[in-house]
This record gives sequence, C-alpha cells and structure tokens, in this order.
Amino acid sequence: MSFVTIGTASHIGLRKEENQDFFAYNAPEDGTVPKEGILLALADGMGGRPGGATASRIAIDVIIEEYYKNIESNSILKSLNKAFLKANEQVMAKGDEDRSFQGMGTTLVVVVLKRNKIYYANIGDSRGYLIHNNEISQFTKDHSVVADLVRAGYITEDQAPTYPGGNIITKAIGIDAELKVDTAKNVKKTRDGQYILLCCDGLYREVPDEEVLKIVKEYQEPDLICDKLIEKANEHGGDDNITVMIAKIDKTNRLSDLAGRVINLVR
Amino acid sequence: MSDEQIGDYAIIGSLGKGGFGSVWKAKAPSGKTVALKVLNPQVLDNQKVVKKFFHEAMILAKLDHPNICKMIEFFPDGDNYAIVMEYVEGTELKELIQQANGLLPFDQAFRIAKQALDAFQYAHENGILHRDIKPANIMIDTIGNSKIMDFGIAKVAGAATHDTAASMLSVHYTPPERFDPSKTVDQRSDIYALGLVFYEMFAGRKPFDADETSQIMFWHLNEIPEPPEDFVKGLPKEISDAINIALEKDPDDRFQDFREFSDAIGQGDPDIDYSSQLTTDSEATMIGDQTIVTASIEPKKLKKPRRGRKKGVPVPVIAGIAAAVIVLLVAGFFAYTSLVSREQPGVSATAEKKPLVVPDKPVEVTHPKDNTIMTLIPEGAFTMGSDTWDAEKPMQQITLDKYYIDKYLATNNMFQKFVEETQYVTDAEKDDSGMVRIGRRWKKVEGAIWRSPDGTDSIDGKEDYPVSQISYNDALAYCQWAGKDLPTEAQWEKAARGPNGNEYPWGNSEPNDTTANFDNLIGAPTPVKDYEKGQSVYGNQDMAGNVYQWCKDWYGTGERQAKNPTGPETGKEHVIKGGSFLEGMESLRSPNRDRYAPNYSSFLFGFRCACEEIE
Repeated sequence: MSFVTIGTASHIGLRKEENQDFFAYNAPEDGTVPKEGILLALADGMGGRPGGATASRIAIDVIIEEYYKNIESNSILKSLNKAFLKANEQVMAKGDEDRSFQGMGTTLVVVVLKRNKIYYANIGDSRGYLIHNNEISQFTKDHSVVADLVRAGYITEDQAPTYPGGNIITKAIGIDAELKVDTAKNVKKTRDGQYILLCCDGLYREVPDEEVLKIVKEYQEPDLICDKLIEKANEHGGDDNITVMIAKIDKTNRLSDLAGRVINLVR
Repeated sequence: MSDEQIGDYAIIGSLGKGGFGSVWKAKAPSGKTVALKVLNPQVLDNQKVVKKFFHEAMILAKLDHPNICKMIEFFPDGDNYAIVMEYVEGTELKELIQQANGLLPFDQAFRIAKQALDAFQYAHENGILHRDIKPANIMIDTIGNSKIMDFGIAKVAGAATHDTAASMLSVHYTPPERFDPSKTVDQRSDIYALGLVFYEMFAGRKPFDADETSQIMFWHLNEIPEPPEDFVKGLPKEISDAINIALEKDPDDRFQDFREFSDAIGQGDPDIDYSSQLTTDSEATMIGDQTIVTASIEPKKLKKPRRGRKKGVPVPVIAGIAAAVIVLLVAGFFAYTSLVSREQPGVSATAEKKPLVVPDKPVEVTHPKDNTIMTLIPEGAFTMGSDTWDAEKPMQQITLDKYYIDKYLATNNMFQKFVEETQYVTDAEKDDSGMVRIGRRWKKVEGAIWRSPDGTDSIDGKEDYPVSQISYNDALAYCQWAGKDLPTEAQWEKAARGPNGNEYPWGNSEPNDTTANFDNLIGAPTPVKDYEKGQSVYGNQDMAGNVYQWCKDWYGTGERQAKNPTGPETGKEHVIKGGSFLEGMESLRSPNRDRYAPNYSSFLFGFRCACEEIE
C-alpha cells in the first residue's frame, strides 16, 4: 500500500492585481480512495477582470463534477477527455451569456492517480512534472508557440525560455468549440518517494527546474514545498500568479493524522 | 442578447464568435443592418495597442472597395470596443470549401481569387496589412462576390499575451517569418497566407495539414508543398506555379505585391467577367438593359480599386463631362459587366449661375509680425448667407471696409513660434485631451493636442500643415500676439466667396480632389499650399476643406447689420466656417456655418487671422 500526501499553495504574485489561478483536488474525508481515483486539477485563467478568474474556476468545478459523474471505469482518459470538453463548453457558454466574460479562457492540467498509475490531460501551458530522486521531468506537453517551435526543430530547448512570444499559447479552454484535448500518450506508473508537481507558468518561468528539485529534496513535505516554491518565485520577481500542487507518493503513511490530506492508494 | 443595445445599435442576433470577440447582427439608427464585432475586453487590455488601432481604424474606415467589407465605425462600449461593419449576406469561404468537399468549381474559385487579389492590392496600396488571412475571413455574398473581412484586427490581438488575453495563434495560415519575431511582416506575409487559401480552393486540400501544430509549423518552415496541379487534373499550370511562388519560404522569393500575383494567375476564361457584380442600385440606375453610373471622384491618396473589365472592350474616357459607367446585362450568374472611367479633375458639369464680377488682381502683403502673406480684400459689397438653410438665412448684401486676411491657414510652424515666444498653453493642453473623430463617433482622446492633433501622430515634419486641435481662445491668442484679430464671419465669408456670392471659393462647381481636401478622401489635413486650384477670387487657399476656421463672431441667426457686421454682442458659441478634410461638399459651401464653445478643441479646427491695417 502506498499513500498520497497532497500539498497546495497559490499566490497572487507581486505584479498582478488579481489571482486568476484556481485549483482543486478531491479529498475523501474518510481517507479512502475512490475507485475512480484521486483527481488534482490546476487552471490558469486568461483575460481581463473578471474573465480569467471566472474561467479557471468554472473549468475546475466542471472538471471535477463531470469526471466523477461520468466516469468510465475502463477508460480514465476517455472520462478525462469528456470532462475537458464539458469544461470547454461551460466556459464558452458563460462568455455567450454575459459579454463581460467573452473571450475568457484558461489553461487546465489534470492528473488522476488510480492504483499505481498516473493518468493526465492538459490544455495550454500549465505543466505537470514528475520528481524522483535527483530527477525532475515534465510529463505534459505545452500548447504554446515556443514549445511547438522547439518540437518543429526551429529553436532549441535552451533558446525557448527567452524566445519572444513565449507566453502565446495555441490551445485554451473556452476559446474554440472544436477543442482537441491532449491526454496521456503514456500513462505513468507511480513510484514510492515520487512527487507529482502541477504548476502554472508563474512558477516555471521564475524558478528553474534545478531549484525546484533542490527545494523538494530539502523540504520533502508537500505543503512546505509548495510554500517554499511560491516564496522562491516571488524572490525571482513574482511577475505572474503562482499556483502549485504537489502529490507525494509514499510507502508509509507518515502523515496519516492529517485526515483528508493523506490518502492511501490501494495497489 | 437579442434585446440588447450596443452604442446606437440594436442587436438582432448573433453571427458568431471568434478569437477576437463576438459578432452580432444589428440595426443602426438609420434602419440599416450592420455587423457589429465586439472585441474581447482582454484583447484590448493593452492601451498602447488600442491607441494604434484607433489610428489604423481611421484608415480602415476609409477603405472603399467592392471586395472589402466596409468598416463603418469603431467605438468604446463600456470596457469593450465595438467595430461596426457592413453586413454581408452570404457564406464564409471556409464553409464553401467544406460544402464543396474541398475543391471549388474552377470559375468560382478563380473569381474569388481575382477579386481577393484586387482587394488586397488596394488595401496594401493604402498601407493596410490584413495579418490574418484565412478562409473564415473571406465572405462570399449571395451573388458570388468576395468580401474580405477583419482587416487589421489581428494587429490588436497579436499584441495580447497569455496573462492578459486568450492569445491564440492559428498556425494553418501562418507564414514562416511569423515564427521569428525579429523578422519583418509585410504584404508578402499576407501573400503567403493567401497562397495557402488559394491552394485549398484550387487543389481541394491544405498543403500542410496535421493535428500537431508543431508538425504544421515544421512544414511551413521547411517543406516545399506539392504543386496544386498534382492533385487536380487540368488545373492551369500558371495558377499552380503562382500558388507555389506565393508559398516560397523566403519572402524575397514570393510575389512582391498582389498585382504581380494576380498577373501570374492569368486572366481565366476570356468569356467570363470575374470582376465584382453590382448588387444594389446605389451605384447604378437601370435603364432598360443598360445602366448609367456616375463615376466617383478619384481620391488623391486613397487609391481607387482597379475594376475588372471585359476583355477586348476599351475603357471610355470622355473629357469634359462626368464619366459614365455602362453596365451591360448579361445572362446567367455573372449578371453584369462594369466599365469605369474617371471624372476629369477640375471639370464641372454644373453651369455657373451668374455673370462674374472679376476683381482686380489679388493684392498680397507680408505681415511684419508673423511673416504671413495676407490678401487685401477691397472695400465693397458682397452677398452673404443663403436661402438654403435656416442657419444661413437671410441672403443679404453686406458691405465691408477693406481688410486683410491670411492667404493660408495658420501652420504648425507659425503656432510653434508663438508658443515658444509666449509659453502659451492651449485649452487642449490644459486638459491633455481634445476631440477626435473615430469613424462616425467623436471621442475625447488623451494626448490629442496641437502637437499631435489626433492623439497619435506627431506634427513633426508637418511644419507647413495647418495647426489644428485649436480652440477659439487659442486662435484668438495667436492672432492678438501677431497684432491681428480673428476675421469676423462676414470678413471670412467675403474672402471665401468673393463679391459675387459664389457657393464655393472657386465658383459654383462642386468640389473635387483638386480644389479641396474634403470628404475624407485623404483622411488627414494637407499642407496649406496644396490646393491652389481651389483658391478664392482673392487668392485665399483652403477656404473650403482641410480644417475648419474660427471666426470672431458669437453665433447668432437672422438679419445682420448691413455694414461691417460683427455678430451678436454676447453668446455661448463662436462661428466656425469652411468645412474640413472629413466633411462632405455641403459643409464646404462658403455660407455654411457651425458653432462651438470658445474652449472647444478639435482636430478639425484651425484658423487664419485678419486685420484692418498693416503697419
């Protein structure tokens, strides 16, 4: 039996007037893991006030509701895909209903932990990372112009962080009715001592991967790590809202007293 | 939304939604149906970009081409901005291609291509790039004419970024240079995008298509597309070759303008006229199976589209009369063939009404203070006012003592000297804003002062242009500094229309592009010496058009004093005369008058001075 400990933190940053990020995860109060798995979701809203914050909140609310309502037990990824499409539909509908919300959108990254597997899907440039031992690796694919240029071989990965137009994304929830969701091509296996990090660009544009890794190793506990990552992002400038979620996979239930925050994952 | 109102427009229904905002079918107060695009608030978060767009919107509003969806106006709507456009009944090219399962009938595709090329050439000649050419932005109206939509809007959205806006890039129609921000985007980028659209129309497929945007990008950057002729048997080689030239990776290897592109695709079927077909009687009056249309005036800078014509038929140019367009009714879908000739500049079909009293040769004197040339207006009577409009009544014989009036409008250079010497601060400068017209709507624009009358363009390099964004107070302050005064309305009107009561400074013929800067033909003021042909009998220039001119009088109506009238003793508003570069011919009539408060400053308002004696 493994246990999952979840930590989260979100901060407005130092330059923005509003936090347009939103996140949520399901945490059964009795500590049992639902057969549908544990879902963590993070969204980074885009658009002027009040659009961005509304889009991210709608997306998160819809994704959780829809995923658990329509779960297809044999296909987590199909269920995720459906939930993403529903979230897209709902954000667009809100824009149709009220002109002040028109054009709002949001990124969305979702991870489902079920048994010993990590399922995921994403839209936009919010990311998922796996951190284990001394390694940190991004498992989601950014939908951004710069990421596409790297994949197209036009620029190198080293050039990407400073390449102009880095914040232009090519997909978002709430913009296009014909959304194609990127679901996991390779479902990952959980490993003991592993951390799953979800974050928006407010973190990774400020804090390099090596520093993230260093903080995870130093502070170890998800809540503490999340706080430290936000601190670090703000030290680096805090240009954007910063939101991080960390799920820690562990063999022992060392934090079982924190009901609802530590969930045993039945193998 | 259907009961809602946006600005003066009543929403009828939704026409769709795009990356930049939503589009609504709406009814204008005039009853005309329009398309109203409401830009997403976040698209416009960047005020600098909005300001630029305001400037561009003024040019966009002037584009007048049968294959360009006309932009009517652009105005703020709460936190949003709305663009009012001509409503086009029809189908998007995107849908047509989908319905045709890719391949359009050749003649239809060729017609769309020819018209689109003509429209883009016209837009580029007027300094406008589209930046977002794709089949969804080309509308095909109910009789098959192309209408290009959304010129320039991509520029606003292009500056939006992730944290401020849903900034999305559609890579299917993106030229390779767009992926490198250090590279210039010009008309050749639009040519590439149009090449991709043509590829779909003529080859029935996209040259680069994949789910992965990175794959499409890779192809744009590296892959030479298969020639369209490989997919469609019988596709003329010149069309296939032309499309591939348009799709060259290096802009230098593409066509350098749309005319070259158009020439390269050839003329199509010689028996078919591919030019725009007339849809309304606004341009044409049917006479049996023939139609006579009065040609429009050729604007000085805003170039008119080249209209297509049936091959082998010469274009008639008839000197001395207003030219005509003969539209022959032909059978079938392509209903008309239009032939256009141009009005001869400076020639009028309107007869003079009265025998002329020709004054002596104009007398010109240089004023010692500001070195302006002033014309002497000799003592004598003239006809003031008109019976046409209540505000101009009555038509009256008025006698004035001799006086001098500036031959030209006060220039930026002159005003600069005055400000340097006196440190004068204009009314607009006190407020750091002045009135600017965007489309049909007036707006108080921040930074619109005499140094940048529309709030965007500086007067640098425009020393000989008329100073504008000037209030009555400002104009009077200048004149007093120069030891002169503002002309009374009577002085102004006599200098404009001469002793014979002419309708316009040059006589009674309607203005044209050689006599006045008017009717938004150029869309901006022009140097004060540009319209010599439109001068009055005393030699005063710009007494019609360019910028309005303040007069000394308070505004009043009714009978005037028979000699040297100076208007009412008091009032709230002062008279302005002469019309402007934006106004139509009616405002340019010499008896025409309007009035504004003394501190009202507009980018259309300037002045000239007068005096009774020169020391």
